[in-house]
Amino acid sequence: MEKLKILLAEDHRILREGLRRLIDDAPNMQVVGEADDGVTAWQKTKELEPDVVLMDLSMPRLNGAEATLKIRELCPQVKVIALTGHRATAYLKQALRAGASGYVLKQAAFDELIDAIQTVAKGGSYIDRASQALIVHSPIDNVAFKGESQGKPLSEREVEVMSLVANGYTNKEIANKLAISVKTVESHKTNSMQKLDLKSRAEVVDYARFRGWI
Amino acid sequence: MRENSTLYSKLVNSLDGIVWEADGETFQFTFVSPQAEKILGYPIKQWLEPNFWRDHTHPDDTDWCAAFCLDSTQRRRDHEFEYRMIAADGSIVWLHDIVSVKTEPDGRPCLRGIMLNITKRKRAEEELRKQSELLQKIFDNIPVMVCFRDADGNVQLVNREWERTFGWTLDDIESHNGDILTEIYPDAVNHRQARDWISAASGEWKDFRSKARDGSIVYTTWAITHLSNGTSVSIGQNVTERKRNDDERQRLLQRLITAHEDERRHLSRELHDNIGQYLSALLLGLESLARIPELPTSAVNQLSYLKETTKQFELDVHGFALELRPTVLDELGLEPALSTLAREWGRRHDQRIKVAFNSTGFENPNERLPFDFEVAIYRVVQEALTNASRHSNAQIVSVILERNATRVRVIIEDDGDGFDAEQFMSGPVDTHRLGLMGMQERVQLAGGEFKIDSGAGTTIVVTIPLS
Repeated sequence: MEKLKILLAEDHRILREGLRRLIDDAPNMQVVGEADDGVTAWQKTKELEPDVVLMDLSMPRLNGAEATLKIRELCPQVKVIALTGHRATAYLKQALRAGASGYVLKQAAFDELIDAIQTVAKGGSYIDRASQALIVHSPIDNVAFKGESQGKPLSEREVEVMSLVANGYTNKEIANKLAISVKTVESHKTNSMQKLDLKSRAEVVDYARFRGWI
Repeated sequence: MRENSTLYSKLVNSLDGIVWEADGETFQFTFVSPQAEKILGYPIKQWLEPNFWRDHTHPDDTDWCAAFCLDSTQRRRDHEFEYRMIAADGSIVWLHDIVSVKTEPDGRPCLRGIMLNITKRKRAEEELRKQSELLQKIFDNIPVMVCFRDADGNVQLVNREWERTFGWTLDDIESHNGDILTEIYPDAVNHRQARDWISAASGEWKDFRSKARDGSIVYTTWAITHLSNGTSVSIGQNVTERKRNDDERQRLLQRLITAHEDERRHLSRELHDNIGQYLSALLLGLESLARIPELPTSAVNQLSYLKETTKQFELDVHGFALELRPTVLDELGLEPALSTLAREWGRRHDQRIKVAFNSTGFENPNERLPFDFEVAIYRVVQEALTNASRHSNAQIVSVILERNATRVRVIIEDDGDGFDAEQFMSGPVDTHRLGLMGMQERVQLAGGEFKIDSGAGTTIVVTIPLS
């Protein structure tokens, strides 16, 4: 069986050499080329036609995401695995948008990288375990939508206060606007949030958006 | 007839004035009412002596009064005039004399009149004159610009300081074709603001960028109030010097912040791109060592310990870099950076706090905000989360980031103890307050507005307009 051809695009020399040694040691795969910036990465991809490109996202000249975009346009049969040291879902989104089939944190175990290479070479997609956890626990998902779970509808005044809260007014401003005391605003706010089982202003904003108050 | 005369004498006696009758040629009194004695202090008998009037008028008034009376009498004309007499005690008494001229059957003129004591009025007038002279002196010499406008907003009067500041004199304004405001505020926006400010006449101060006659730029600040008759008075000061100092201070502050941020970015990159990469390489090396077949158990254990230590080391380095200056902020922008900060906060800084993050208007990752705004907002959120962790006992902190065509806004609200924000900001300077002041400074430098409201929890609202 022919070995999988791997192109290694990583600007940090020591890391690149370490990866190369480990990949060459693994069965069924071999590093056929190296690149230390984004431009070289896609030029070598065209020239060497590897099966999989390991692409560092932060590289000089052309960053990894843009190099990935170019490769997916010019050589659609080549799969790209994005490599990054940043624990931020934004990088994951950026890589997937650019057309990467896999995404692996540099801190992940090497076995995961081998898994990733084999999976994407077969046409699958791969996200390392730590990054999967990031998506599941991303703050946007934490603010899961809740609603009138307690079955007690809001009073008219409470709706008024909640929608002003959602539109960015402070308690003091709401008090001035409705000509009531700050204490009253606070108690309307607390009661409404209790009724709707909302724990924070962020959840109030989500709820208000759902109700069309914003 | 008798009743009438009683009524008449009552009336005459109640006046603060003297009813009199005199010969039209000699001006000798033939009758004076009893009030005369009270007002000037001379006995009635003395009044009826020849030349009494002439001898007791004020020396400065004697000649013109005599001439005026003589002339009017010769023409048989009723007349009235104001003059001074010297009272018995030497004091000056002002009189308003109303005189009617009658011709006797023998053709001689006869004078009848009433002298009203107007001393009080004259004193009040004198007082008023002194006051207005004082006001005039102040008006002329005070280093504050004063400008009166009529109800239509046309300039009626300006003082010397106004003339000095702008280089236009009141005469120039009067002979100027069109509106002087157009000269002072050539910029259309400034001009409209100035007009609005004049017609609003709120009494509050507002700074304006204005132009002097010689073309130089003058920064002025104005407060305008309406007077009761619909006219208005504008009080202004030349604040060019202050404005220059403020600008200079702002520039320095901006440079300081930029230098600070550059340094942090440099360190962060160094940690992340250099040390971080070495650590990743080190981990890979350890992995490949662990793959060597038939290693003794002690070596396997030692390798796994080294791997764990390196991983922890790498996490710490990553954390330091994130705190100094997150790469994601530079590379991907504010929204991903705040999202990461919100997620990492609970894990890295404070297990008791959960940060709920929520954003709108950032759907297109290529539409980045101006970089200064991104950094300013990021630092404000970082500081606000630090405060919530240290001072508030909060459990949940919301970070809400919203952007539309005209502005970007971030709200940070915690459910903690809260404090009296107004009192706090004027209280003693400690690190907490310095932090808030720093946030405020940064937001203002970016041209934004910083609001804090604290009671049940603390809410910080930062709004930066996007032009």
